[in-house]
Amino acid sequence: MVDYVLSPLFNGLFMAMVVFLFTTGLTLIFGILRVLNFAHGGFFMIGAYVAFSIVRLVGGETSVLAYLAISTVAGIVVGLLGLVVERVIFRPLQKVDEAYSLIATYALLLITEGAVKAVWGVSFHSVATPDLLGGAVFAGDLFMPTYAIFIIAIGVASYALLEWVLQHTDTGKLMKSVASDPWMAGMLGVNVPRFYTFIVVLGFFLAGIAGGLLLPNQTLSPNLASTFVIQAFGALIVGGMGNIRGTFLAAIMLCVIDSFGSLLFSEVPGLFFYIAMTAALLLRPQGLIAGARL
Amino acid sequence: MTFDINRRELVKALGAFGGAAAIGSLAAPSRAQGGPIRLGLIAPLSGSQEIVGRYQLAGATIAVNQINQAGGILGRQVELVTRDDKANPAAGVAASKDLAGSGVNLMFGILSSGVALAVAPTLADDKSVLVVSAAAANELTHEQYTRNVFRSADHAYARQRALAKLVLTDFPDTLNWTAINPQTAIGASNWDSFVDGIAQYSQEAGKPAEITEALWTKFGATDYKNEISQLMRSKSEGLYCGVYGGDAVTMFGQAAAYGLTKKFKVIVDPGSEFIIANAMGKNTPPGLWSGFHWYHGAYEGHKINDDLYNAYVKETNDPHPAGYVGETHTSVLAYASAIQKAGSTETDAVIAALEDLEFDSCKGMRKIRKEDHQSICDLNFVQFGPDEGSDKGWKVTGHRIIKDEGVSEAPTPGVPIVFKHKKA
Repeated sequence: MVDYVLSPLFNGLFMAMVVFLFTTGLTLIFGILRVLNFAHGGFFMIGAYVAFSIVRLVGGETSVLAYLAISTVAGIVVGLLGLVVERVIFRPLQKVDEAYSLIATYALLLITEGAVKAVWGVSFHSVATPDLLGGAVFAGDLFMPTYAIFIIAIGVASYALLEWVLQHTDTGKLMKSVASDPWMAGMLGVNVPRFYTFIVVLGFFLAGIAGGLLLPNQTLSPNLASTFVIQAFGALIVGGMGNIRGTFLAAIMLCVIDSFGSLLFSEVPGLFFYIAMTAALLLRPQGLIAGARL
Repeated sequence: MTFDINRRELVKALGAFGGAAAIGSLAAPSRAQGGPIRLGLIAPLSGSQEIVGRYQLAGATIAVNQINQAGGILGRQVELVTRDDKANPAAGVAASKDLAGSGVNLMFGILSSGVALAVAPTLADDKSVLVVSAAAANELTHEQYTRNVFRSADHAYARQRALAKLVLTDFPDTLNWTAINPQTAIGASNWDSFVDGIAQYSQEAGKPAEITEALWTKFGATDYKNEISQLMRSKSEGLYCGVYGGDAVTMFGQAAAYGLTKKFKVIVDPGSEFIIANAMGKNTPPGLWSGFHWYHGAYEGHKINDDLYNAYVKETNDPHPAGYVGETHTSVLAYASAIQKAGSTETDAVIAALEDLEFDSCKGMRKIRKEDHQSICDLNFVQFGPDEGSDKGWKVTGHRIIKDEGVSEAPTPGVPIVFKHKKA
């Protein structure tokens, strides 16, 4: 029971929250601006490197509060980079075909990788989990690392917060209205360009903070940018292209299936993510949550 | 903080190696006997394995500089020409074709076994020679053997069997082994070779070992918790961690909460060298044995070793050269000896000279077997542990040289390797 049900379920949920945290900024920007930001992983990586540098600066060991604060600082730094990217790249892209955004953001991804190599080098780095999160909790025979529980909690809380903002606040309603008809929103007095800037900065902030939060879970290298790209785009597409709730559900579905698949068929690790994605797209080509932006 | 400064300096210095090589690459083709001897380095100078490519470039550059300062080969200077294979087979073939088209018939380098296996069949038509400096797949000197390929480095079979010999010598009572391996050709090759060694040496010691089925993971996986959970339930006492490099860092980082390194009495890895310790610092798994292409600390007092180490440290301020530095350095020395012996740089003459060539290198004498073109050389291993007292957070707690006395298989070019002792 524990070995073949609870353990893979828990590990799948953890991976799902990792993917969801990585994908929220991507989903937000695509949901509103319709820009498929290939460079998202690059800015996630920069967030992780910024957090790594701060951790090194403060001596290598951090409390949970400091770890959260460092992740937030990483998010702010990346958010400020987002401000520049919005002005220089995303804003001009609003006036041209969507295909150009793929080329431009891919180029931006290469630039982020080059920048990381120039600033931090090509060596591998890692950061230990804060002491308080370094242990584990036992539920019977089920072994649950505290850090994994923490990330699951952060993922669920992030989703709940985004849902609440989107469904129950004026800002959320504004976001949804701009996402569904920016022209009409503009006619009604919304400063759409400024709103777009806000969304891009928010999306980049989420990428940066995710980079900081997930730092203890991954090895830092200039390849980190592409580490979660497949899973992220899988969750984005299966979720319904730009829908937070859909992305959340898709991440859980794909990662839990992959976790069970990798355990039961260990000779083909990772294959079940693609099988689940293919099946989902065949059964619901419109995505899990269709027709609704954000 | 010293470590950070060193790393930055290392990047700058290795970048300078790259700049110098790029200038060399732009030089006009020349096969004139009076001109420089041009050696083509194929290495991953960009992409996911760039860090290794930079080490390979550093070793090659130092060797070429040393040879030129000593007067060159046959009175001619040596010129290094570089091509980037991105650790990608298609890019590797393009790089070798490009070198051949530029008049460079003597090539070396290559990290990835996939690249080496892709390049090998193309060399005869291009009338080129390749001396492999790192790619360890057994197939290269067996079923994929070609006359135009030599390997001056150790190969998977020898390295992993030597590792088995080491652990059974140091931990004779650790007789139940399991593994976590990447699902790659070299991952399977390494594990099969290790199991073969464990089976043979434990039987010879009269205490047959038991092997528990290995776990296989995706190369470049981001999460190992399912596998770690399974390993924690394993009855084995020895863990062969076949995932290497950045993947091993991720795996060990995620395994910390589980206490994986405390569960197993012995943990070994096939060849991450300094990568795990450098990345994990004081969280380095205690007692981890890692395979090395070349460990400079094991050959102190040997002139070639010391000169190479000093030159590397002088250029980079990095006191921990990866074994790849030594292996490309060695490939250049192999060419130097062969060209000297042949009195020519023509392909057929160099091939004939490389066969049965005995030459000195940073880890002592090596011999390239005539039959399968595999080098017989020392096998190096280093043991790591955390070190709270140092800035870098880790230290070398031991090292070992295993002589290749019966560790390598008998040469059987054209025929797949046989794991005589490993049960199916």
